[in-house]
Amino acid sequence: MVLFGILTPQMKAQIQGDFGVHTSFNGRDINWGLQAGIAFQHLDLSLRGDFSNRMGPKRVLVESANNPNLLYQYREARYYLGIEAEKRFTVMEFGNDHRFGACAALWGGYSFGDYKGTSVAPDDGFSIRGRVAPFVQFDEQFTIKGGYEYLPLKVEDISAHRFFIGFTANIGNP
Amino acid sequence: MKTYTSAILFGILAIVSGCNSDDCDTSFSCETVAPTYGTLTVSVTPNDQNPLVPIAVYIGDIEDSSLYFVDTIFQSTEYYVDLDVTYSGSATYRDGSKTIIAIDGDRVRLKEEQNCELTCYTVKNGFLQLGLKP
Repeated sequence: MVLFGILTPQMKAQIQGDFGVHTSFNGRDINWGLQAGIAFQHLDLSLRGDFSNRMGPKRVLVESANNPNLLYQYREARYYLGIEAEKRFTVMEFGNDHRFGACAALWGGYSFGDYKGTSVAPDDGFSIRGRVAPFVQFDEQFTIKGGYEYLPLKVEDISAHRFFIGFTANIGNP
Repeated sequence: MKTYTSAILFGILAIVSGCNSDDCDTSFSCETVAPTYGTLTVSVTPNDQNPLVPIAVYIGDIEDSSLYFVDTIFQSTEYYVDLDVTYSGSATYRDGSKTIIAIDGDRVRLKEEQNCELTCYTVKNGFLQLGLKP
């Protein structure tokens, strides 16, 4: 709201609502999420609030703090809440208002979790996520993208490298 | 073109959100007598070192110290349990010189819904996945 107040009328005319869904996965883990924010069309830049979570709890092994020969296996749910900035680069335009390009996104936010069946909780904290991908945009509104995601977790047997697929819709001006 | 695409998007949202005001489905199997118990399925992964796996099931979180029952099992086992209770469980495995304690929790729920002016009951059974991860 504060950001919108300081924008000039010309800049406001270039702003659209930006809504998306996405999923990312590797052999050990799968997440999905929802996004909502604004797209600055003249900059080919989007800023989005993003909430995502793991699809179902994941079994993780945690060493006891007091006894190295004792391990606990928990079923961990995990959630991510943060803000993502995405920049798009057009490679080629085709048809009527369609284009192909590449995008890069950086997410920063808070990651928190829960172990099922116990009051013990996993480590929470700030986290980052990076994405690069080709995209196809139709009618200057609907974007499909799929590419590489880097999401480091504190769970040693879940890789930070993932594949992701996203769908975004821009609604409103211009 | 943009009008068409916006209309398509709106249509998809309307379908996903379920714009159905019909509250009487005659094909719906309605159980009008409220069940008094549900099932809690406990799964384990026995192996050469752990052919039988000792388990303990608690009411609430494991730390609540409210032990419900203990057992020793070698395969997935179902137990009849009270409804609308959250259960937790642990299974203890030996792994060489180490001990692994697997922990999980779930809630067994009684659900009510109205259909054709009847109250229908269903049970969401619980699962404690105490098997070792691959």
